[in-house]
Amino acid sequence: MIDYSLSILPALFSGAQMTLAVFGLTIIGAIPLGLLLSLGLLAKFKPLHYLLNLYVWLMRGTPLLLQLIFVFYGLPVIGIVFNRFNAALIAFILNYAAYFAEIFRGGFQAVDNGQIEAAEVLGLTYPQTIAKIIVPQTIKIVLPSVGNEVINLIKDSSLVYVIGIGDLLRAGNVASARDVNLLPLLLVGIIYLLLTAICTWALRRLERYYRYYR
Amino acid sequence: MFQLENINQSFKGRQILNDLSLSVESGSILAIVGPSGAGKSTLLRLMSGLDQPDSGRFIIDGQPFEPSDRAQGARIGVVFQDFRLFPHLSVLENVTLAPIMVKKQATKKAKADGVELLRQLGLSTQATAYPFQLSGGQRQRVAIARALAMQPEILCYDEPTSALDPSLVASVAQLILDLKRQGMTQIVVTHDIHFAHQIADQIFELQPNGVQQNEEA
Repeated sequence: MIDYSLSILPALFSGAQMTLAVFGLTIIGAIPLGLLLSLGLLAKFKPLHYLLNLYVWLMRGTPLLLQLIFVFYGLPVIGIVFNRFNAALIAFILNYAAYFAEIFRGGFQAVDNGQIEAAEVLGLTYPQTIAKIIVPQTIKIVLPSVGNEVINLIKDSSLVYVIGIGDLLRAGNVASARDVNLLPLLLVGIIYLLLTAICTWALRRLERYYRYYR
Repeated sequence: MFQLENINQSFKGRQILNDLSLSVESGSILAIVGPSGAGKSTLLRLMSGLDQPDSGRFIIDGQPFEPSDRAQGARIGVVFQDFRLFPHLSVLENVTLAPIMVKKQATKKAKADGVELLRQLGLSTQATAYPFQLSGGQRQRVAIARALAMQPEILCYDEPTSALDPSLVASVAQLILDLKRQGMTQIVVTHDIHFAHQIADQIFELQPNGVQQNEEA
């Protein structure tokens, strides 16, 4: 059994690499985009507001799996073609940015308006107030919710199998079907647990760091 | 001298400030008293530029002045009732933030000035602490230091005694009188008439129906 496990591990690790690539690049793309969108959601310019709400509604209102299929199989119909990996990234970033945007919007609104007025009477400009007062306080507020999404994303990344990307789950599935053995799937589960454990630990550290103030 | 001329302000159709005029001599203390709903906070928000009056003007030393114009830093400092310290910044960072960001002071100079201000206000040992670690009285003094760091011409307080233990009221009064001795013009909004008489050179009484009266303390 150990020999068998060792024999399939390289395949699982290369699948895990793909999982981590989708995960990491989605985080890098979706958090800044979500931040930008959240500022738009709070903007007083109504058309932008409606447009972004429509965007968030679409992204949160339809399955991520469907969005993935749409980007890879649907867009080529109108002449927009992405390779598998880019299609996956686009779908994931657009989808997760919508969730992050809502989280950040809530976080911004949770910062006491008195803080903004205190900065205003000191003469800080609005961009300075955002950078020095609002964003730092928002990070602490949104950290638990962002953490939830981050953990979700590790597991959601397994959806890429539908457009034929060889991620961790697919590697386990292939080995399991080929060898008529459930052990690969068990190992896949353990690797997912390890990945989420590492993320949970890192997020806890971050939350503990932000406990320096109340 | 700081003057308000014919200030009118209404809120949701109700006239709160009715043709209000008042003046404060440089280096003196004006207390603005009156019951809740008389417009004390409204007046403070206008003077600090957080709201715009419907009509009327502000004058400092004979020159018209726009409180919400803070391009070179605010000429009117504000100590809020709930202090509104920045919780994620240390005491010293609270004090130096605006001098560095707004007045573009070198960090080193802003820090040195901040440390000196904290020393004067008896907060030397709290410089690296965070606001949540301080007592109410200490928070208030940090709020005062933060406002003073911008070297305002006038310092306004919103209900400086309301968030404090009764035992601390005398020390706030002392602090305000100390600042007066250093030449600071101060405006204190308070519902505590006794406190107003303790500190003020001049008391201005606001009434809910928009009637005002002035008295020398």
